[in-house]
Amino acid sequence: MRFNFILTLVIVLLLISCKKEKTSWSSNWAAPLVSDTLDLTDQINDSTLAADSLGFLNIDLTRTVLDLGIEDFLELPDTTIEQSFNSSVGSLNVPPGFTIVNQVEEHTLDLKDVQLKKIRLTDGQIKFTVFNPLPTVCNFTVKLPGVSYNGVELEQQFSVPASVGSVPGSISSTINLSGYLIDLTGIAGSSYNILQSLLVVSSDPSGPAVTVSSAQQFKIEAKFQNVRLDYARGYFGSRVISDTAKLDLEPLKKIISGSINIPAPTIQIDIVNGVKIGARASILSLLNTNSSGQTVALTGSNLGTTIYLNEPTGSWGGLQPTTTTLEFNGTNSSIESYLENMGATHQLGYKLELNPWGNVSGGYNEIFPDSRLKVKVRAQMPLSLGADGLTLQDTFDLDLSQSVNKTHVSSGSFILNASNAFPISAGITLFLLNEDGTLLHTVVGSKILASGNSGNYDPVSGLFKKDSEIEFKLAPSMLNDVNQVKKVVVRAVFNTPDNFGNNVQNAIAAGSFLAVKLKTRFVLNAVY
Amino acid sequence: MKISCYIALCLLPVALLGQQTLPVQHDTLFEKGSFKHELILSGIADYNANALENELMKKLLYGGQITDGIKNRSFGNQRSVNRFGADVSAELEYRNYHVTPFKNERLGIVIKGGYYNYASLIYSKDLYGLAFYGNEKYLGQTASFSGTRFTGMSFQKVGFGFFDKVTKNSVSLNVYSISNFAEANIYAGQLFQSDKVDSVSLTLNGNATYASSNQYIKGLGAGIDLDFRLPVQVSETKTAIIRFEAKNLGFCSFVDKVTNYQADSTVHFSGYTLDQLQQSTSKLSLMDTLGIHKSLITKWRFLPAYFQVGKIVSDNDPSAVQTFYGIRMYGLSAYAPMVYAGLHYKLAKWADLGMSVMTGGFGRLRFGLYSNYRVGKCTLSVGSENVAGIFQKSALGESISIRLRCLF
Repeated sequence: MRFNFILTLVIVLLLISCKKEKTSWSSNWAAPLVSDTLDLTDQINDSTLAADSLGFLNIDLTRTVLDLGIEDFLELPDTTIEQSFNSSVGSLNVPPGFTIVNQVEEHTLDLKDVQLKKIRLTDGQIKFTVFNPLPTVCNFTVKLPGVSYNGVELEQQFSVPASVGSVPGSISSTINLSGYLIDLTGIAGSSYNILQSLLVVSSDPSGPAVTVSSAQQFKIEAKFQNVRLDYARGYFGSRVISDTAKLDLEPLKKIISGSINIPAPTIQIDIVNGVKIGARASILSLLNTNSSGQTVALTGSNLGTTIYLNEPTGSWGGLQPTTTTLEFNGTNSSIESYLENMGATHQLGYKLELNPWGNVSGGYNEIFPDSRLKVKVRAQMPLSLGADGLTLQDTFDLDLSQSVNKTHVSSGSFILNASNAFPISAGITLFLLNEDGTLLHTVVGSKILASGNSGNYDPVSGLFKKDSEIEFKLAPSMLNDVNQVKKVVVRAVFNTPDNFGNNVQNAIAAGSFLAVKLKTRFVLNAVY
Repeated sequence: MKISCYIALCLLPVALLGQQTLPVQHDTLFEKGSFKHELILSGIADYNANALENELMKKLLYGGQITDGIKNRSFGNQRSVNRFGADVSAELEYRNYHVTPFKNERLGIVIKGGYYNYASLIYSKDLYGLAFYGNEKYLGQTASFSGTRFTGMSFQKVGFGFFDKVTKNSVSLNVYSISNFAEANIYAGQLFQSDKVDSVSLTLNGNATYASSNQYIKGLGAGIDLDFRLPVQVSETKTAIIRFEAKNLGFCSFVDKVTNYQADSTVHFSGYTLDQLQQSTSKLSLMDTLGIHKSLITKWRFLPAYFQVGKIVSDNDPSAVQTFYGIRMYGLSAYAPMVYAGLHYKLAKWADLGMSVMTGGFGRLRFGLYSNYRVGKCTLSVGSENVAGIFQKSALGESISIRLRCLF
C-alpha cells in the first residue's frame, strides 16, 4: 500500500514537472508563381493595333459611342380595336345560315406626329375575342384587311356558343404576329396609321331559326400586345436626340503622375446613317478627365458645326449606309494636348435632329431591320510613346494570416525574371498597407526592369530585348506584420530612356513582348 | 528534466506491457488458496528508427529547436528506405483464481483493459530532405518519396476471458474503441524542380485517409488475445517454456465515413498566367492543381496485432541464469520481424537482472537491460529495450517498459 502510494506520487510529480516546448525547424522552399508573356497580339487581332510596313505598330482604335435602331425611333403601343354591330331592324327572324353582319371598319392608331404607312412586325401577338348575343350558336369570320403574312390576309373563324340569359357567348384566340406585314393606309390606300377590320356573322346553318333584335350587339375585340417592329415606312416625326456619351478607359485611371509624349494623332468621329430619314448632327463637346481630376476640353473648328447626313441607298439586304466624318487633328484642333492629358473618362456631347424640316419626303421615311444610326470614334496614330516618370498604381486586397506559434514563413523574397522587348523601363515598388490604409512596409525592387532598347538585338525575333532579375525581399519584420496587411499597392514608374538616359519617344515594334516569370523563395519555420 | 519527462511519458499510460522482454513471472506451481487475485499493470513507451538520431527525435517529441547540425547528422544516416515507429501503450489485467467457470477448477477469469498508440512510418531519404531542408536542396533534381507509408492509430480495449491457473494459457475476447486513425500510402511520388525554379513537376499516386469525425469514439472493433505456453523438455531435468502470444488480433470499422484523399496524376506547374490571377483567386485551388480528389468512404481495417513467440523465463527453474529468446512481429508496415535473445540472472531472492540483444523492429541492433524487484507478493519490473537511447544522442530510439504484478 505504501509502495503504491509512493509510486503514484512520483508519477504525478513527474507529470507536473514535464512541460513540452515547441518543436521547430526551418526549411528553404522555392516555387514558381507566375509565368506569362505580355504582348499586343490580342489587340492586333481585334484591330485595335495594326502593324505598318516598317513593322511598327499603329493605333487603330474604333469605339461606337451611339448606336440607334428602329426600336429607338418607333414604338407601337399596345392597342385594342373594337368593332360592333347592332341590327337596324327592331326584330327579325332569320333562318339557319343567314348572314347577319358583313361590315368593314377603320381604326386609327394614336402615334402622335408619327405617320406610318407600312410596318413589319418582328414580335408581338394579337388576341381576338368575339361576343355572340344570340341564344343559338353563330359563326364569326374576322378579317384584318392589310394585315398579311406571305401575302395571305389574317383571317380567323369562330363558332361562338350561344348566349346564356343576358350574358353573350364568347370565345378567344391568340395569334403570333411575328413576320406579319401591316398596311396602314386604310381602305382608300392613301391614309396612315389606319387598321381595318372586317366582321362577318351568320346564324348556325344547322341550327334553328332565330330572332335578331336591335338590342343585341355582335362584337369583336382585337388586342395588339408587345408588338415590335423591324421595318417601317411613313413619316417618323421630327425629333431631337441630344445627349452626352461617356467612355471610360479603365487602365488610365491607374496613372497617378508623370507624363507621356505622343506623336501627332488624329481622331475621327463618324456618323453612320442607315435610316432613310432627313437628319443633321453636330458634335457639341469632347472633354476628358484624368485620374488627378484634371479636365481638358477639345477645341477646334469642327466642334458645333452642323453636318447633314445623307440617306442610305438600297433597301432590305442591300442597304448601303452613308458615313459622314468629322476629323480632329493637330491642325484643326487641340487633339494632342487633349490626349496627353491621359483622360480616363471621356465625354462626347452630341445633337441629332431627325426630320428637322418636317414631313418633306411625302411620308417616305424608311427604316429596315439592318438600319442603324451610329456615332463612332476612331483614333489613328503611330504607337510611339515617350514616358517620363509615368506612374501607374493599382491596389489589391490581401488577406493572409500566420502565427509564429504555428508553422509560418519567417522570411523570403519574390524574384521577377523578365525579358523585355518593349522600349520602356519600369521601377516597381510594393507598399503594404493595413486596413486603415496606413503604410506598414515598403518593398522596393532591387533593380529597374530594363528597357528593351538597352539590350541586345535578337536576330530571331528581330527585336532588342533585355533580361532583368528583380528581387523583392520580404524581411522578417514584414512577415511578422503580415496579419495586419490588408492591401498591397503596386506602383510602377515607366520611362522610355535612350542610351543616354533621356526619355524619348519610341516606336513600338510589332511582336514586342514582356516575358515574366515570378517565383518565390522562402524560409518556412515549422512549429508545432 | 528530459529524463523526467521521458519517464513521465512512459508512466502516463500507467502500465507496461508484459509483451516485451520483461519476465512475466511464469509459475506453474499454483497452490490453491495461496492467493485469489492477480493484478498486472504493464506498459511501454518505445520509439525507434533505423536512421533518426535521438537528438532529432527528442526534439520532435519533447520540443526544441532542431538546428542544422541536428538535421545534418540524421540526414547522414538516411538510407534509401527508412523506418520509424512508436508504441506507447498500457494495459491493466486482472486475473481471478477464486472463481471456477464451467465448474472447471483449473480455469479462472481474466478481465483486461488497455490504451494503445501506434505510429509507423516508412519513408525515403528524399522525403526526410524535403521535410527538413525544403525543396531548394533539390533544385535541378528529382526528389523521390515513392513507397512512403504511414499509419497512426490510437485505440482502447476492454476484454474478458479465461485462463488456466496452472499453465497460464489464456484467451480473451475484446472490444475496441478507435479514438484516432490516420493512414497514408504513396505508391509513386516524385517532385522535380528545375534549377531556375521556373517549373515544378509532381507525380503523385497514392491516398491518405483519416478519421475526421468529431466524436471521441471514431470506430469500433472486436478481437482476441491469446497466450499459449508450451513446456518443451530440453534435457532430462530441464523444461523450457515456449510462449505463443497474440494480442489485438481483430479488426475495426469506423462509425462515420472517413475522409479520403486520392491522387493519381502528374502535374507540371510553371506558374499561373496573369489571366488566371485576374480571375477570382478563390478558384485557384491547390488541391485541384495537384489533382487530389477528396471523398468520404466507408472503411474497416485490421488492428495492428502483436505476435511474439519465444522462450520465456520460468520462476520454476532453479537455475541462477536462464536464457530467453524469440521473435516478435507487429501488424505495422514499418515493423520488420524482430529477433531477440537474452540472459536472466537471479541476483537475490528479491531481485533479478536481465540483458538482451535484439535486431529488427523499427530499428537496428540494440541492447536491453531490465531488473525485477520483489516486495512481498508484488513484483516491479523496470527495463529498457534500447539502453543506448538513455545515454547517447546518436542512438536511434528510446525505450522503457515497466511491469507491476501483485498477488493478493
